[in-house]
Amino acid sequence: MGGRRTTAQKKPTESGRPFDASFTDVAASAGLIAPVIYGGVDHKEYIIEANGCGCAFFDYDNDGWIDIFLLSGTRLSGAPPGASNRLYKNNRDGTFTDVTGPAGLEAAGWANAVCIGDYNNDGYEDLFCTYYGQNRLYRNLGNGTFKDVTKEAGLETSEVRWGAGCSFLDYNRDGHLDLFVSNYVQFDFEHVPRPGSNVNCNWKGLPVTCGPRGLPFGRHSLYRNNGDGTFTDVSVESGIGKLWPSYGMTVVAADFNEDGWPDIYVACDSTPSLLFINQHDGTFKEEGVERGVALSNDGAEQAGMGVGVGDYDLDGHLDIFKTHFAEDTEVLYKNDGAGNFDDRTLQAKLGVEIRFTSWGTGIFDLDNDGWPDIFFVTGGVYPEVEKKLPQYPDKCPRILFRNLGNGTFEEIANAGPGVTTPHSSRGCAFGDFDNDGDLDILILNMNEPPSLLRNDLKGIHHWLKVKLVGTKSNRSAIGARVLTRYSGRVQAQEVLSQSSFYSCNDSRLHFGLGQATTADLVIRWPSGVTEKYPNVKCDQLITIREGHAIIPNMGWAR
Amino acid sequence: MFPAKRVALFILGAALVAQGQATKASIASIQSLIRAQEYDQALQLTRSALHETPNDFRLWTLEGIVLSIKGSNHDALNAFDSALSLSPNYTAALKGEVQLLYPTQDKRALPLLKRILKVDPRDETAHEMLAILEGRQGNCLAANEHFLLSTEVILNHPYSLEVYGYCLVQTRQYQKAVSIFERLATLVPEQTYPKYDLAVVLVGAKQHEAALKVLEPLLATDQSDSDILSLASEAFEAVGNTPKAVSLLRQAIVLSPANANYYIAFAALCLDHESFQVGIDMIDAGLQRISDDPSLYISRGLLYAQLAQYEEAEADFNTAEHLDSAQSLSSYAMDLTEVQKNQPDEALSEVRSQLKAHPDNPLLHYLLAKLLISQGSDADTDAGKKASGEALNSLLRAVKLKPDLAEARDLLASMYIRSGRYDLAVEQCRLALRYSASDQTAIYHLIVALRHSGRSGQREEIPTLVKRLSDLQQASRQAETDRKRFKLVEQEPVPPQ
Repeated sequence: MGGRRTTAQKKPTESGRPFDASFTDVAASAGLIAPVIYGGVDHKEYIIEANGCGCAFFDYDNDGWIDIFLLSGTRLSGAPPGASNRLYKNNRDGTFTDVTGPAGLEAAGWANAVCIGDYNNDGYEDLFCTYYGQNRLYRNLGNGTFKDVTKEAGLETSEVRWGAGCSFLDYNRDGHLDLFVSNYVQFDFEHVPRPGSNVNCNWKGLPVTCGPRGLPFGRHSLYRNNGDGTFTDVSVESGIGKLWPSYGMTVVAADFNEDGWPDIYVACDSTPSLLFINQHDGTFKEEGVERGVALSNDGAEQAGMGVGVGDYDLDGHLDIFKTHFAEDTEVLYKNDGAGNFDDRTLQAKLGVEIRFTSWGTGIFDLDNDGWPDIFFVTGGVYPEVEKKLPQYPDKCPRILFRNLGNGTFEEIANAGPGVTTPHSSRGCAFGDFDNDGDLDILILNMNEPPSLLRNDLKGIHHWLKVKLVGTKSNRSAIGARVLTRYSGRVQAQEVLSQSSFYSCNDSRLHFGLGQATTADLVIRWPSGVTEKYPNVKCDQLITIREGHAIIPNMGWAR
Repeated sequence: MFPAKRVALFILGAALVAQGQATKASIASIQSLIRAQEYDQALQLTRSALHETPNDFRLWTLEGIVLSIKGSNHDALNAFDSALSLSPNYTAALKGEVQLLYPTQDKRALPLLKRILKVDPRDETAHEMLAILEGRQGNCLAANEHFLLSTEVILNHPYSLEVYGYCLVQTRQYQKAVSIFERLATLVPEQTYPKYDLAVVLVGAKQHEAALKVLEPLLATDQSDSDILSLASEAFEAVGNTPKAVSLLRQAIVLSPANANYYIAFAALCLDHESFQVGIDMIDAGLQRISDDPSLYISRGLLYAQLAQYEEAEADFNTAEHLDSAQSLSSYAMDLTEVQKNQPDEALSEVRSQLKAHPDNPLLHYLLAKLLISQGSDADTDAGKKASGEALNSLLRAVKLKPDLAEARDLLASMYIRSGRYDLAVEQCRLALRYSASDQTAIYHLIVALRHSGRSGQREEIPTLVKRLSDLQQASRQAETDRKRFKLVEQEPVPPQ
């Protein structure tokens, strides 16, 4: 990792406005006690130990309560007992039960990313996990168990690759979810140099893991869903498989230029990030630089890790927030609605915080005041550095910027112990695990148990959650866009298969409404169908089935 | 450059036109006496004739010639001045006076040579002399024009070739400079300096392989010239042979341990190869011999900053400032350190204070603007508008003081983009690229500005710029890979002598 170095923006005067959300880490009491094993604890020998992995909030059993999936790594010396991806079933009382074994999801290895989608349209969300080595597709059998169908789906590869980000998307709009996978670097233990052995393996004069600079680029892949449970590799004919000079990480598929076809944004480490624009004919054109989302505002490559997508300025268009390495600002790109972006980082006053290497992130309304906030998690990649340079700690606090509603943000110093307590975190996912109408946050910590930040929101703000179920479109409704109008504003959200860092959020779209008690919804389904739902009452979850209007919520969802 | 003999010939070439008040007989008699080297009699006869016809400029000229031959330069100059006051463009008097002024590179020769050329624009010797004088005054553009008009003459004059080559380098005409220094090297093959000059130009022109072809024979015969060793080190580093570069530079330091430049070059190598502690150790060795050179402290401070040892860095920059407050680089570095320590308020205050001491330092103006912009004040508040205005003025000042300060132009373009003044941004980007064609920031800003400019004709340029930027990024990565192949490791430090 590495990128540009810059200086922090001066912190503006505090607004003095109260922030109603406060986060408490309830992971231990919720039963999330198994540590996430990932490489060395105090020292990393290879970059493969450093990047970590993602997590997901998803409702695998359709009971209306989101469950938890956490990826895991291993150690150079081999997987210690208990090192495994984990599935936790929501007990609907604030606690979770580890059902990894019964679900058939026990697996240890260098896992990286997870993306969720119902690829076979059977009504149950499936899992795709990327790995250094062989990626894995798990089909949800609908009975609480999963089956590894990687080989039969045609996703097994003979070569060892470093699968990084991934996303389900319906790029050809045939109603079946296709799959995009970014690849990080070409890596093998035999040839990657050791810490300190060359200049790419030093940081601040100290020997650290080598890469990605100096290592060969990965090559990204696109798999077309054949509609029969199998996929065909269309990387070459789609234009995705060209060797882009990129170390690909988190992937977000969304319709950024609002032409009705999903595009693909790939955060890239130490190289220009990529924006593949869907050409409507099965091919993509990479236009990251010309559309303004590849580089910093001064044209520099940044160490792109995580991506948040949301409508921070309530203009009805999806903006992008991307996290980076320490000593660089994160970046906020404002979308003009045609898929052209302007860097608004400094105008938004987000350049005040550059102390930490930042990972999972999201643009979500955490206090339900109607304005989406920005949250990201942090953590060092070189734990050994801290001993000599204490100003670069391995464990760092989470960062929360509240949206002031005027195009600027304000860093919240104390949003509860769940935010201020330091960890070395990577992926994070946003969702309402206790169905109480606010957004909670699941965070993956390196070599520690995860954090589950329960949002103890005060105040009287209203909210609305929208669960979409595709019929003509893919069942997960991935790529469906909801425009929600309230209090004279309009907010866009889209159902995503991956964002944050290698992670997947609760697929129920959450809108804080502030003082508004109703909202008007416009839904554009991936099939092209548009539906309107005026005057929807606040403070509820609604489930909308494509072509069938509002239907009863699934399971026990409140 | 121009020995007296040659200048004498130059004067004798001037015709003393036998017209006017004095008789042909008296002029001819004086000339005869001069040719017969009967200078006292010639002077006596001249003065006697002047008594009769004091307004005869030819007689004043002859008196000047005789006096200059006798070594009475002051009186000779007065005589030539008298002649020229009577006949301002009288070539013989002009040349006579130039002959006296030129050997000491006296600036008073400049207008005289111009008058000679007004009378005879094809006088190559006058062009050559004028070129040299202009070159030595630092007026290289003017010098180059006159060298061009005296090409035939200068081809056999080593000093003229040397000055011409210098001026071509100053005006960034490296390829022409190479051919001039090649000619110089051919003209005086026994001399080392023309080859060294040629190699300097080739390194400046980034023709490092060619430079090494010139330098390697010099190194093979003699490794006692530290300047050659240092230059060769630079060339070897550029072609990726870092071990050789390090070895030669260490040799240069051993030969000239009191020359701070070599330690600084070594520190630069260490910065490039991220071998910061090795660089610090070498500078420490240098400071044992030269404890009062501010550049050494600045170099070591920069190395400390890379190791995030900001207190040590700041102490070094302070020492440099204390040793030489006239130089402003340490101020700039000190401010940068405050910035790196994420203390923007302190940095801003420091920059303002240092600008009082160094008001014409473009880097400090640039840094002030950068800090003001990073404050990110609201553009719609009075304070924000004031800060933004001050930043803009600082940047305009910086580029006025140093038009090729591409970083300042890049920041200007960024400001113009943020305020929606895309045409001005485009202009700054193009200016930055004129000075630095590989400025990736300028290309990126140009893409952004053109995308917003709303002119479809201009937007058509964007794909080409995207390709150019991509190529440059790739080249940068390759260069970085090449550079980072080597890391410098500790050796025994150079012992103090």
